Amino acid sequence: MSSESTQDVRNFLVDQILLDPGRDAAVALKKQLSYISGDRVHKPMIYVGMATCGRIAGAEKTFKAIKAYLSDHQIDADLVEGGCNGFCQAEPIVDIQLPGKARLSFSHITDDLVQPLLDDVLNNIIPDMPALGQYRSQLLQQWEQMPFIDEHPYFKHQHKVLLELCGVIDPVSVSAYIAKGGYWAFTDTISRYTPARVCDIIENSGLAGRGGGGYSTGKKWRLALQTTSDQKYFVCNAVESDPGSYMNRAIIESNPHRLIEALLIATYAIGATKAFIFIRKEFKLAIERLEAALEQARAYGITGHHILDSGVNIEVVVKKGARAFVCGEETALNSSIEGKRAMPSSKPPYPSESGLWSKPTIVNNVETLFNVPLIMRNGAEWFQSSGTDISKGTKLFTLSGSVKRYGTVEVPMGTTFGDILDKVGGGMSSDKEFKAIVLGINSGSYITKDILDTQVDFDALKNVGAALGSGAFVVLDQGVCMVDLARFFTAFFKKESCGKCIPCREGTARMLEVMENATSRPSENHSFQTLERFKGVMQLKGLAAVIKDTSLCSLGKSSPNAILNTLKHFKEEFDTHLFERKCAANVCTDLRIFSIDVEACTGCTACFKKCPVDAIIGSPRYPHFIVEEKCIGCGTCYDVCKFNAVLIK
Amino acid sequence: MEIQIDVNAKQISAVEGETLLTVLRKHGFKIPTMCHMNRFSPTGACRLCVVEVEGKRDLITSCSYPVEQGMKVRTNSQRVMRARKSLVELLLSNHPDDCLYCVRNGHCELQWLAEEMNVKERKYFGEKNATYPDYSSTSVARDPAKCVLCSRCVRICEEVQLVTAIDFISRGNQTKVNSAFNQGLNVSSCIHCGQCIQVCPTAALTDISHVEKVQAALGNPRQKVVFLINPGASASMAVELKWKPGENLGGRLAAALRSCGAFRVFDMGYATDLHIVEEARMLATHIRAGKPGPMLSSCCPAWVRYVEEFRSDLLDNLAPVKSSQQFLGTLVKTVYAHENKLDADTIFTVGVTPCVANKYEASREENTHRGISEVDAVLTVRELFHLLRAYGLEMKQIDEELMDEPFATSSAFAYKVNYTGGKAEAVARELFRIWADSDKETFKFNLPKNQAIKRETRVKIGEREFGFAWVSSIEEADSYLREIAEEGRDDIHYIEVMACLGGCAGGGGQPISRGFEKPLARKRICQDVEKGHSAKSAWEHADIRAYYNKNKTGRPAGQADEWLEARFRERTDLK
Amino acid sequence: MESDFQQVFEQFPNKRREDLIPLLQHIQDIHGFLSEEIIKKVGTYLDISVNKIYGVATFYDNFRFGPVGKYHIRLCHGTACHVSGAGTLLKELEKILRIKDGETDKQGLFSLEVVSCIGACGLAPLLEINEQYYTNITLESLKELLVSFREKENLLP
Repeated sequence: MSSESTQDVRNFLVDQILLDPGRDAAVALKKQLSYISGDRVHKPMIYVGMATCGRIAGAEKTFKAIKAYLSDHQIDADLVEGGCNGFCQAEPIVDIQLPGKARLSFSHITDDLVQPLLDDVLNNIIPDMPALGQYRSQLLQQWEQMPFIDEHPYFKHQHKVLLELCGVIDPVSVSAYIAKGGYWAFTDTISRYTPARVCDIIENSGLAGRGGGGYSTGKKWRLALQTTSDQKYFVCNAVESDPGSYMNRAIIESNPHRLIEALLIATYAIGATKAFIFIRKEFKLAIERLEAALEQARAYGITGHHILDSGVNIEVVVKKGARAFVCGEETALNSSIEGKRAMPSSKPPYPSESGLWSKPTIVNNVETLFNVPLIMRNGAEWFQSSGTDISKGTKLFTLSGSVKRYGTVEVPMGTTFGDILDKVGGGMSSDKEFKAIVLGINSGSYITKDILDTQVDFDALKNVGAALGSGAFVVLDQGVCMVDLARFFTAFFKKESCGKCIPCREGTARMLEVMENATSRPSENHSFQTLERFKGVMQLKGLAAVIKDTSLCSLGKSSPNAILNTLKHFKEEFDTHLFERKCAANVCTDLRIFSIDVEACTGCTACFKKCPVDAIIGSPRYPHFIVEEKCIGCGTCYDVCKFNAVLIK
Repeated sequence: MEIQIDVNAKQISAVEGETLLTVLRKHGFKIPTMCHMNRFSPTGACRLCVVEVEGKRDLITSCSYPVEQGMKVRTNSQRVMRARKSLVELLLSNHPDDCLYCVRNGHCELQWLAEEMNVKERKYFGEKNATYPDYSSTSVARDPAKCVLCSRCVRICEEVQLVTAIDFISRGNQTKVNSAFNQGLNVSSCIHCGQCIQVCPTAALTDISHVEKVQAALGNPRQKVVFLINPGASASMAVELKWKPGENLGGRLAAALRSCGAFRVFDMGYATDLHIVEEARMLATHIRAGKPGPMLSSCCPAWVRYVEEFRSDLLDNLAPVKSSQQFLGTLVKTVYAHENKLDADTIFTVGVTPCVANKYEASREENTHRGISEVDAVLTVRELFHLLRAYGLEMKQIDEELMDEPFATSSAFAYKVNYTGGKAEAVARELFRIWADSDKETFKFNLPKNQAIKRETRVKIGEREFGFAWVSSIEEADSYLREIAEEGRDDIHYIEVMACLGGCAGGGGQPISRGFEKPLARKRICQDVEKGHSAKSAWEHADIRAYYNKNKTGRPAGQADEWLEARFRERTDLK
Repeated sequence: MESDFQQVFEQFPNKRREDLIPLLQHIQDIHGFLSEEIIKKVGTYLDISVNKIYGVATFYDNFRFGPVGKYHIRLCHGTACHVSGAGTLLKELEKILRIKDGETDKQGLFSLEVVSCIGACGLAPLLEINEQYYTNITLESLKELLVSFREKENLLP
């Protein structure tokens, strides 16, 4: 930022940019904006990726090292605590931009690498270090022998729209955000469009809820707009409770202003004046940045009373929620905001009629909202131009598991799952073969090898019996036991059930018992227990169908998905567990059968002494034996044997 | 607006805005429910009322779904029936299989449902939740193992009684209805009204049973068991046994209990009359002294407990008179014992009432004197049936007998106080008797036209008008008290408060009844008795006049003086 | 301590029902857990039944009713962590520490909390101990880690 005072910058940005409809044509402004946005710099700018993923990888130490380096060498440079550009695997990422030159991005910069990195780069030398590439720029001089970051295989196949500014701008700089085109859509919206028109535009764009439901966002908004009430509320669902995804939190941490802008537009569109962002309290960094961003927006007069002299009033409040998976369900979320137990209530009445404090309320998730300013700025047609006939726009995923490159990725709707895995993710990370992709816990869907060419599309997924879910994308290799995974999912649902309705409360517990029976060996295998086990399995499908059919909320309805899909795609694996009592992936440790290698056993009696059920016989200094009928498969002998004489069959 | 819907291929008409369940039940379709409560908003928790609606992907709960023109509903499709049956089977999979030992055996909604759904084998096996029963309270026992989490008790405790002594604790499969910190009801804010027992579909909430205690006393030759029969209990019994109007309700009961080995059977209505007269005297003092605010009735122990717990600012407004149960217990153990040369500690008094809170009341500290309780045990009407059954008594074959002197009779008002409004009228009538010039004036107690909206009236005595009001349920009491306080009204002099909906006719100790049919039937029985009764008011009851002739101050001499004093105090248990 | 609570209360002058959860969160931040006494105070302040408050607090995962250990272990058990062996780690932790999710050991040294997705799936399995992250945990490194904490405690007077 230049030497101008912050007040001057504010006045410039508000008067000449936000409130001036002619700004797009004014070329002269562009240069000024590029300095405010950080596209161009007067002095060296060092940007450290310090979203949660960066911090876990050690970015704080890196940041400290850079700070120390700068003060030791008395270098005047801007040091920015940045966001995540999506490539979490490459963290800590350090970007450096020198005046007049294109921005460089380096990966895996731990604190010990700071000195050599800065020694070189600040002297205009490209160091021999892992680099993601340089940013493309028409204004600045490009580096030689440095690839472009957008050609990096991880980014090349992505279509960054929502992630556009993530990891690029200072997340808590309202001036940088405005200079990059932020809040323009909002000021245009309130000066040009009626709320009804906003609903039209969003509906025409084909934007559908990204929380998993896929319901038309514009239609939902209109329901609330058409309901007359003295008070309405807009709620942003930032609970993100899926245990396999964190992209919503990542984009809030990296670009909180976009969420605020989106909420302002959405709140205006339904005729409300108060918006809540319901976010889990543990997301400390996201909350910190969101609150800082809100404070800035307030200081700029963009939120609050009589916004930029328009007569529009919108108050945005960050609500720090307590943790419960069910808070992701909209009626439960509303109860939680009201200070109650987050128990879903039956619909109808829908929240658009009677939600928070019985007033019309719309709940949208973070990713859905992130699209809104872009649609308002570029038009419904622009949004429609990407994606498939049914599903428009892009989709974010948290790519993780046995894949070479991972992080937050954004691809246009219509991309195949195989492409995300191979092109963006770079294929399998382990030498084991691909088994399946798990989409979020809500959908409980598996993309197996034979359907890898399925497109990311609500309908295409429905055709293969899957659902998009919230955006988790966990790649599994052959080392994963699908029965165990289904058990894990069921255990999760049992733990997270709110306990209100019978099918979810009692049913998940019963399903879990069946799954536990399949993946473990009872200590005493009475014939009636075996009979019960088989009886349970026989009832499993029927029980799952009833739970799906009768549960009160979407959490309950989706709780049997993982089991149903396992039975569909991995029936054989399930049967092997059940009838042969074996786990091919060797994950269900209870099913292991142990034996002693007579050659290797020295007769040390260690296993004999430790066996909890006296299943090992033998005399000292002679090889021992395991009585299979007595063995409970606890693995104690395997652990205590110093001679690798205990084998797993 | 009237609309048409199609149910099981039959056209039926409905009114827009009604829920599907209301319409279906009105037309005779049997829809099972568990969490549904009349007059409460639907929660949709039990899912038992699901039906299939054409065009809907999932089954829908009829209790919460409004009817729509032309909707096609199936209430008994294969899918619906399988769902309902599975839900019951799931409940049973986490339920103790001890119906034979269960106090609600034969009266249990879960049992009925299992029977209706034709559940004939255990389908789901698995671990049952580990729970601990809570017998810490003096009145209400809880067994969470039998709880189906329908939320009816939680809602009545919170929304009707404003107490929230119990609530859902924890989450998911571990959810339990419990008191704060799982500490037990004895240290909770429970006011012992027992409304939760009334709404509980299973035996998760029951009363602390005194049946065995009473049986032991009956079998003990050293103890003289004296039953104190609340007229409300006999009226309730009459409803259960479908007795014809005009039959002597207490008479048969007296005979039955004697054959069980009772020493004496007394009419608690006698003490009710005394209580009325005393309360009217206190009211006269209250008005004459110009005390602020109306005087509040104190005959309902749950209400008294509520005031002590939540509204200690009203303690001074409670009428300082003992309730009829404790009044009679006192008289029996003091005056009666003295006159008949009996040792008080050999007398075992048993209250028989439609009230659960009476159990708690009998255990209150000030109602025991140097180890001697005024009332030793209290049987609710439910327990009375258990006792009689245990002794093999067939009530129809028992001939009427009279209750024992000197507490053998009561006035019509002893019955009238069983439903809301009766007590207010009784006290008004006595106040009138004390102050009015009976030659020139006649007593008029005009009931308002719509008692659902307004429950107060004015009684003219001489030149002055006195306001009398009556409310039942704490919610009603609270909102009424707030209303008159906010409006700064000083025209209401007496408020009758009954903690149970509809008064004692809807009491927590009554036989379990869903809805208002049975309480209304009990009220009708009481009204029938009143019509044929010779003593139209407490004072017209000759025995009462005799009592006051003997004890001018209303208090018999000696020991009873201290015993008869009613004491209230602020309590700081969990609010 | 008393004045700390008073300060927290003062931040919620409107005494609304919706203030309940933030108020409890604040108090837990200061005090570490919610004691009976505090819940009663909150009840009196907000005029909400103690049972209601207890019901709300037990619904959510992050309210605790006893102190946490000196080392508060938060094990990530998201999908990615599970497939990389977080389940085995959890069993091992429960075995070694003899505590379950949400409990604190008798010495007050360790407490365990299972959370879903900390947000570093690539570094799975991982755990967080007193705000410090430990990534790519194996059974061996877990045991070593616990031993190192125990040693540290023994060395201290």
